[in-house]
Amino acid sequence: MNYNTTVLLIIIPILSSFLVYMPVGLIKKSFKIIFLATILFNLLFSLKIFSVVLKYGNLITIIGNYHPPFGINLVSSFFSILFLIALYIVFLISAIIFIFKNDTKNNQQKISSVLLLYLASFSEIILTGDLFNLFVFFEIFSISNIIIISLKNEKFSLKGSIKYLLISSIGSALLLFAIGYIYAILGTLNLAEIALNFEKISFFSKCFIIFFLMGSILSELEVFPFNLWISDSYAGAKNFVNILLSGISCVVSLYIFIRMFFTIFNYPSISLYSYNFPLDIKLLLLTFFSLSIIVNQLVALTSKNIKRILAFSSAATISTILFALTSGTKSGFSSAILLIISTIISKPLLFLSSHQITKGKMEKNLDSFKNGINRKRYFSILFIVSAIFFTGFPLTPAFFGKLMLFYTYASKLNYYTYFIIVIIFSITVEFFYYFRMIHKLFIKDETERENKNIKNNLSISYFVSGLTMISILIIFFIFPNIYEKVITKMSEEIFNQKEYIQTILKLGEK
Amino acid sequence: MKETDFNVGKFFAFLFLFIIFIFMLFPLFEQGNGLKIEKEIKDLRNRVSFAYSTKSVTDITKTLKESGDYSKYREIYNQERNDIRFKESANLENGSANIVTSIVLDYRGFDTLGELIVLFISIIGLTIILSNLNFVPFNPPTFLQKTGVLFLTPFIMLTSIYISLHGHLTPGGGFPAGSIIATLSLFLMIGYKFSYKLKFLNFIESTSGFLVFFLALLGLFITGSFLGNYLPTGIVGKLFSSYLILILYSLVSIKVGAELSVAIKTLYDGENNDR
Amino acid sequence: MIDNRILYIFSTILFLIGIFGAITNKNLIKILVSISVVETASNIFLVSIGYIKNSKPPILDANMGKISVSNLNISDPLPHALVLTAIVIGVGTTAVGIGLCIRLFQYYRTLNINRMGDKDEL
Repeated sequence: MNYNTTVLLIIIPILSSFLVYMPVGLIKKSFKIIFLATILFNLLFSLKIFSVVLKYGNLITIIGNYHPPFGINLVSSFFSILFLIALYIVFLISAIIFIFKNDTKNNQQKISSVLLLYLASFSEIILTGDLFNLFVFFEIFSISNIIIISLKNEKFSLKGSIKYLLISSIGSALLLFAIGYIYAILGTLNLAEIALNFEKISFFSKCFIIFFLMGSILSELEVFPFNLWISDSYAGAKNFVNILLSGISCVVSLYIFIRMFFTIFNYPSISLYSYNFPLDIKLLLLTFFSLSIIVNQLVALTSKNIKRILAFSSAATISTILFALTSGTKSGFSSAILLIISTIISKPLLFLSSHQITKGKMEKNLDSFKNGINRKRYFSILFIVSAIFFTGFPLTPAFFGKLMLFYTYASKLNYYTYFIIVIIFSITVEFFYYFRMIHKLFIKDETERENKNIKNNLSISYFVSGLTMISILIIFFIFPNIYEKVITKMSEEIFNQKEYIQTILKLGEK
Repeated sequence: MKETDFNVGKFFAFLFLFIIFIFMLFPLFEQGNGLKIEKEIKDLRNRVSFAYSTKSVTDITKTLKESGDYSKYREIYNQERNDIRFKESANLENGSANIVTSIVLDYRGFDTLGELIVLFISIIGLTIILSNLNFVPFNPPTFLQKTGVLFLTPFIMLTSIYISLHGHLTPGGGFPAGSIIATLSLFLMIGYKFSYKLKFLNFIESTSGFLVFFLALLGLFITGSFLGNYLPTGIVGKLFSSYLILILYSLVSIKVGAELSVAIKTLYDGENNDR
Repeated sequence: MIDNRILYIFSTILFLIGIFGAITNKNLIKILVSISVVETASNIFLVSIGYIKNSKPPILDANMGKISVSNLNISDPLPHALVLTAIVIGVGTTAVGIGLCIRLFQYYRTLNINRMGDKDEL
């Protein structure tokens, strides 16, 4: 079914970003309202599209009156729209924190324009059905990431953002190479047509395309050889940027990974085998990701900066999700979705609360957590609850996800089963350093002077956003049934490559 | 320690890249089955761009809609169709004689709009990163600089206007024209010590960008699809043809010119010296 | 004889030269230059896939006269359009990179990446 108004999800933020950027007196006073109204519009309109998707199935949006193999198109399916809604909620929370903080006063207009373009770019990445269009908006996405990392204008943030720039621009060149290769062989850039004909490509060309596409995404996914940028960029960035990076940037790259592997390459049944060069792609990816899990957890264990610990633990979780996806089964996919849910909600909350607890201290070390329960009671409780959710205590989404992960690899005994040791190791290490942090909250700080002059006022934006996120977490805890249906429907959609192709190219359907 | 000629790090980097090079050569000399990069392309019949270059996308999709299978478009490429004649054929999908321009702004116009945003966001980023920075002022212009700029200004102006208006006929278009305008602003800064307010440039930039997207959005309400062509296309090869592309490209040239001038100005004497 | 495969090999060599520069150089500006070499290599590859022997440029003018379906003798226009977009993207990335370099130079008074380490890391 054609539903051409979906494009408003991308165009309205772009138009209002131009509007916000205008140096006119009227807009200078009211740009905050425009900014928040645009995000609310996107949230409400995506809910509307979701209701249409539930009614009619996958929707296709045509741009320029040219039908897909010739023109660019957007595809909105159950999976992509749900992803978008979750990301919009996280974005709204960090936008509220950004708008009501006054320390970026002179540049606030420009930064809100950048954030709106960030919003437009990730909605386009999730909805698009064209490979080159994905590349263009992925570039916008990474440039806006670079800008928002460098906002603090200190040594750390500048170093982090230039590392990110160097890695991501090499990654984009790899992506461009792969796009050219695909076009030279298949003569098309439409994702559905590439998916239809991908099996016909010869063995080495297929390897080439897969490795190049992988290399371009893995730098965003914080996998081991390409994860050097996170150590500085998370530690040097502002708080709302941490929320965006941990809650949105990695998840969008994960979405691209899922689309590439499952809808284009048809991953579980991909035949990467030739008689003179046997290549087990599953074993290769598993080794890669488990190495990444081990390295990230060990760095998180040994580092002392709070933000760096949280950043590396988030990178380890992303690698765990990739580990689950590599199995290529429905149970592995649903465990990945459960872990994504727990990351999207609890990771931003961890960053937010830890920032509030360490506020006012010079060094953001583990020691600045001391006596937190008395200084900042509300945020300490938030931190404890979100750490419990993130590490996977029983009856939380992360717990079910890790249980499903064990089930996936242990139900069929083969040599992939040995890799479970890595997951057990990672869970143990994670428990250890999160409990060390929680333990610090209850220790009395002897060096702290009795200083009652420090204002202990709660900023309302932090309070409200923390409250919303914690309530979402508790809803997930009380009613675990609500995500059961959603996950089965999602996995049905992802493993049904034919339906995706059929929505776009019709394939003889009348 | 004495520095030697043999560097271990460089040697291993070279070895690593050599292995990648061998890997990248594999697809060329492969013997197995399947599609691979052709040694020599005979024609465009295997590709999507055949329909773009004969301007027959609407025709082809019409026949495809009847058969109900959009993936078999290559089989109807050989159907008889009218030739496109220079300065004779009229009312085509888009009246652009330059086929690259017709792809850039019509068939795959959404990519170009994304490209505009890339430029916009990177210039905003540059101004945010370099805010509150003081630069050492340059020397006052010499006689040679002044005369050279005086001589060159009208020609550069003329070239940029020509290129931006002839984007649908000859190579060029909005982006080269915009960069020529930015060169002009650099010359004026060197020669005359001429300085514009950054606010003025920002206003032009955001207004023209807004207008580009707004004109594209009007297509959604008039033709039912974003970026749809709602203006007459005219006769191929004439200056006043394919009106939508003409308008969009001139707006793009203004936007790119203002944007790159902002970049040059921030790199030349900083944001603080804004007069 | 220019063959499509020769252009492919040429662009891969240029690509690897760029990556070699980005890995081994110590100066930030030199690294940025090598990254733009990498981007140029991928652009050359993109242009090369549209090359057809003895073909005309895809612009209709008085010399060409007409474009007909049966005798289409023009090179592939789509890679040209892709390269136009890719060039502008490269310009944007380089501009942001240069801005960051200026800021970093202000803090450290050097562009050598080995001297940019701080003791309070990790």
